[in-house]
Amino acid sequence: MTSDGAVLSPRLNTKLGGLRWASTARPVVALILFGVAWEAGIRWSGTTLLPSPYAVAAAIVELIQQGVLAKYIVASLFRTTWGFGLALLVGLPLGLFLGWFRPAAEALNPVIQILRPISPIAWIPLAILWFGITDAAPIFLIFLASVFPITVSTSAAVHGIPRIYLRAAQNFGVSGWRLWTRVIFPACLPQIITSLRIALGVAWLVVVAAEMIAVNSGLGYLIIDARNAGKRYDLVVAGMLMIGFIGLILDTLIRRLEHLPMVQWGLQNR
Amino acid sequence: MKPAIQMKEVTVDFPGPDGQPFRALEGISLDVAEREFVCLVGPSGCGKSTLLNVVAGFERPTHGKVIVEGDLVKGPDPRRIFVFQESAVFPWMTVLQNVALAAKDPSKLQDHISMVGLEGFEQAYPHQLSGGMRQRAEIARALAAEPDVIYMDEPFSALDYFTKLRLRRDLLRIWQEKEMTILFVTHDVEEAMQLADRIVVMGRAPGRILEVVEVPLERPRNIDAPIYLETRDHLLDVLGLS
Repeated sequence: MTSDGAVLSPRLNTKLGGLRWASTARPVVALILFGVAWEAGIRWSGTTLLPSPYAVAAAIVELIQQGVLAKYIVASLFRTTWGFGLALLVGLPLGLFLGWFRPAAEALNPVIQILRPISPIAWIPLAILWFGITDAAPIFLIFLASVFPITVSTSAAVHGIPRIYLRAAQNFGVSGWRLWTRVIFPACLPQIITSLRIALGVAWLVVVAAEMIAVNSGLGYLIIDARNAGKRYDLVVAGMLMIGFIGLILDTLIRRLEHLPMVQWGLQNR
Repeated sequence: MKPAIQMKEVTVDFPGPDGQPFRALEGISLDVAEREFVCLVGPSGCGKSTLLNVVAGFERPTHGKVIVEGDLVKGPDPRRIFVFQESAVFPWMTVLQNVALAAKDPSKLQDHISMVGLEGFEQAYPHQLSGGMRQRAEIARALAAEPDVIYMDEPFSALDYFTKLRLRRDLLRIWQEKEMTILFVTHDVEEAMQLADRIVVMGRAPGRILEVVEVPLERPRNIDAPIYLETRDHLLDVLGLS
């Protein structure tokens, strides 16, 4: 009776082992070629406007030996975690609320739409005025950067829940807290996860910018300090590369949420 | 037989595009007996889905009222479950979780799943199932609420021919076993002929009942029997299609 032509969805990725190996090798080869081209470009042109990959690698080793690299990474991640965490704590409930109670959304929408396009960088003077040269200033800026994408996407997701799901829930007598935890929140989760990914990306962009001005530690501070203190552009580029690597790691970590079985339905076509 | 569902002079107006109210249904009166299987048939735009939504309590009639099992319908009720045209099983839950959420008696989950033939797919998510199996899951979830009445809005219309035939056969078996009342909307005359005790033929502009036709045949229906063909031709005639 279960032969309605039905099957559990086949794994699309059933290629040969060799092809899989190739798909891992391709980006590695591209990275090596990028490094080689960089080195070659500097040697042929003889420029001093950009440090060579060797100089940058040496600078990274130097930072590790001085013990500042780990310290600065931890400082940046600490601020990102707090800013992003607070944004999640505020943005998620606020988005759920605004998505459900449309009059509230209509009332608040102009405020959100006016605040949203203001770059968090523009808030730096006020952040310093309010919080001084403390961790609270960049945390506040990261919070501002992350809270809007989370709130707006969550609200849109709640608003867009297909009516038949809500009607079915109502029909089965699912209401109150159970309606929120079993229907509304899971129905929005794929979109929420996508918004968290965007918000974390923006948070990481902003922490670096904020540290260039508002504090005296972290990877952003490393870059600005290396330039100001001794025009050490090898350290500048080393800081830039570390920002890139850590951004990649953060994105990889948050993408793991996309592997939750309960969100597969909403992410399949992306 | 006692009426399970009584529709009394149900009229529904919708706000039209030009500000004028648009009359979707006018003066619908119909009784459905307990354990009866009734199909609403009509062309698109005749208001049959609207009528089902009103009877189920999802929409309010502009005039008139609906009484189900003696109670005036004011909203949806877990004793009467609606099965949607597009699958409304929750895609974020497995088949088992869907059935469990709806279940009146959590010890009988497996019975409901077996009833629709989804054994072995308890842990599957809806998107991993075919369209036919998703509708089976939806029926299992409806059964889990142990309703007296099931409303079905073109539940098989998106499925292929063979899957439709199997699901109709299984639905009839379940209906007979569970002794439920079923009100079933379809635009497929053959489907109505195979399922219903009575077929309510509806017309459009405004939506109204043209005729109520009994199908005086034992199930499973012999689709070559003269009376089957006669009844079907009469239905097509009422619908203006012959």
